[in-house]
Amino acid sequence: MTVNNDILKIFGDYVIKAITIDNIDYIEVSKDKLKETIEYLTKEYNLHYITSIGVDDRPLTRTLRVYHVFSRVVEDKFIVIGCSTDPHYPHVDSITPVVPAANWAEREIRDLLGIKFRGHPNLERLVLPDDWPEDIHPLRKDVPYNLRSVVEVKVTYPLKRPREHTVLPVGPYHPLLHEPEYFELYVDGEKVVDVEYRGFHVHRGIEKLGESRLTYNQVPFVAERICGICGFTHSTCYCQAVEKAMKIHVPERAEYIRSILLELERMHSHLLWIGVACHLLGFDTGFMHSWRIREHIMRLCERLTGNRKTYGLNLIGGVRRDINKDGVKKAINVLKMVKEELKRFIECLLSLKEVKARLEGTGILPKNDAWKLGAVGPTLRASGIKYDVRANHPYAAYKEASFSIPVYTEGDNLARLLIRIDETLESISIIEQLLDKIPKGDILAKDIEVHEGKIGLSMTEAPRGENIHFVITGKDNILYRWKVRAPTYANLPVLKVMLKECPLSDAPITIASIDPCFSCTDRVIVIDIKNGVMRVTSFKRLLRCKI
Amino acid sequence: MVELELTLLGVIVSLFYSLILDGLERKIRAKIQSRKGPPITQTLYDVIKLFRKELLIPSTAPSMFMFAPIVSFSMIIIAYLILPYGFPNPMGFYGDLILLVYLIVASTILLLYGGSSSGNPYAEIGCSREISLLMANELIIALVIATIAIRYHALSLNTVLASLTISPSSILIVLTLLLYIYIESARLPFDIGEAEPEIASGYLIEYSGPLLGLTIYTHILKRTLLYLFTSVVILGLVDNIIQLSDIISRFVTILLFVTLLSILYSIISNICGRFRVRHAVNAVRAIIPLPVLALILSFLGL
Repeated sequence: MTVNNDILKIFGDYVIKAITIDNIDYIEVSKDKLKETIEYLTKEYNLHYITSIGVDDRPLTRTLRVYHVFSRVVEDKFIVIGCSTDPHYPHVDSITPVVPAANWAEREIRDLLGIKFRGHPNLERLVLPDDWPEDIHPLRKDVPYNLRSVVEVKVTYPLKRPREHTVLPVGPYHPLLHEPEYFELYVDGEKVVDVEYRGFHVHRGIEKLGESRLTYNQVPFVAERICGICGFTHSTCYCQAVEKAMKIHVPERAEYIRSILLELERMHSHLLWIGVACHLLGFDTGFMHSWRIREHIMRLCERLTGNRKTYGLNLIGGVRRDINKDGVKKAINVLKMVKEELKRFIECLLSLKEVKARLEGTGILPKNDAWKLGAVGPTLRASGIKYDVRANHPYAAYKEASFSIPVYTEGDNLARLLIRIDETLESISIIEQLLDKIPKGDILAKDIEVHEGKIGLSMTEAPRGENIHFVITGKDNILYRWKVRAPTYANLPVLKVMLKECPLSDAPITIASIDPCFSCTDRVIVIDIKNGVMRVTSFKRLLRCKI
Repeated sequence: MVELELTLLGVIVSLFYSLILDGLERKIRAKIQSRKGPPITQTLYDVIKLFRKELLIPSTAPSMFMFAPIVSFSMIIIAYLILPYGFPNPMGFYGDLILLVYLIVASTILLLYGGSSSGNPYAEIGCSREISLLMANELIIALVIATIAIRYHALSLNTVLASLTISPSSILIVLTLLLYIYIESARLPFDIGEAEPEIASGYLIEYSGPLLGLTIYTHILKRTLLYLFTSVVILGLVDNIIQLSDIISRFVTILLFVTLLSILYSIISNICGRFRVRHAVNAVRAIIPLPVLALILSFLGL
């Protein structure tokens, strides 16, 4: 029995719509029964929570909508459960008590669309800056994309600090990660007791931009800039979502090229991370050598696409640039060399006792917590759960390659390191297979038709975990809704579990072990030392300073 | 009085040479990491650059914050003055061995105190880490001094240089010293007090500009001082074998020892990761049997 029929049978009267498009089961229920439906589904089926999406549907149906997206673990299917609410009194039941992983997504919807979630344990601001007015929700359609917050409010960091422990701020700038983030560690001697996280200093409003300013084919280039390391997976994911929504057939050769570059990206991303991990453990020699090996991959990417990073290759319907015979030959040679060098390096790295001692048994993430809190990617697989989008929901040319998915059960930092090492080696094998049988033909689909009001959902396995793009197509060559969920968003909440009772010296490597990726811009915060008031400088003030 | 002038010359040469030595270590590190590396004079440039910068002091820091690096620096300079550079130092006196160790330890503690007085939590954690390492490490040097005093009835550096002979206890002393100065010079895996990625340079975090320059210079000088001290002991030990009589060649030999030690240590520290605090302290404690054995042997007159 399909999920749709099952739901219709049990919640019959409350189901407003239940349709299946490709591999997406779309169910719209009455908002009173939303929580029950999801409770039932998560109990009956082995569902993996992906994300929640808020949509301002007032121009069409005069409602605000919430979609909760799940994927099925056993087959390549997605389940989208939607409900709508009155824009004058936007209240929906929170599903966080049933699905803890939905915590952040619901807070984000509350910030950006103003939908309140009843029964949410901690419905505080997540994404919006502290000086943003309470009643303006940026993703609503009547808010222009270039609106700036004009009021200057005095704000303090509203974190609940335990009084009896030393507070150790990590961030907004800290040598641990050269990106803006804010962890507050509560330390008792050399032991971390608790941790609070505050991020989104750098929310750039890319979704709003994609919904108002950019055309379909411009979005991939902005999407690629979501991440400075794994950008290609974002543009691929976006293109796939639109291709799915509009039922565009992508030429096989383009899919191969996408897969090859996705794997190259995974390799250089993992090598980058291994280097950073070495640095955090004080083993700078490992850091340098890891990055030396990575450099071969970067140069190969430049040879294949014209760019070391941010390839600018994806368009809806395919890719812009072909790989020629010389490129294939070069790639095979480079991969062979990298494999040799990497194996030698890994052997050296794992033979260092003090490095291994600091990774083993620290930052443990139990299997249950990993699944419940929605960890993704290597973080999830290091805790013993075999879930990889490339295998569970194959996309691009991954069906054509055979590869294994490394899984470790320890859930500690060492397991997360070993997963990434294994995956890097596995990537080499995938690329070699794909290069071997890359078919001839076009690289870009012709005659693309644009349809309005279609839903597209696509997932890719980024180096850091699963990456999801959700689109609703609109008119005038512009998206109606574009939702992005990057993997770090799902992985950050599990840090709280990993950091508890962890020695302070292992906190940095534990934080880094999820390979967090924040983007690199920040607002200015002025702190008055005398009275301890922090003030976020508004855009108006920055303009006055002629920045 | 030519020895006094030569000693002063030795001090000046060492003050400059220590910076070059650090540059050399950076070059070696670069080679191991397959990089090109900065020029050998880079540390000198760094220190000069820092001295030219604006002096910034946190408004909450006590005056100790500013004075600690200055006093710490002058203590190290005094230590340089009492050291024999391959020939008896006319400024040496009975008991200057104890003063030397006192100066080294006190300058470290002063720096820690100055850094942590800034009130920065990272500085406090770095300080507490460093102290726990210091506690274990100072026991080792105390045992070494006791051994020298008992075996050779010497508490002055000049007599150490003159009277050391090869014996089981003296070989153990040199071995212990080699380990002690490695730990004392805060190299990987023992640099837990600074640990840049963990606690953002630890007790150094609030220092900037000239004060940071002074702290870094003091740190480099301390390293070289430890090498010099060990080289003096080694030279005293092998004096009868190599039989150098010329003052200049003895001084050059000491500098050679210092350079070799520096190269050796920088290679070791580049193939290490950082210890956890507990592991570091345990590693230091594991060394303690060595000087204890030396002490027992010295009682037996071996």
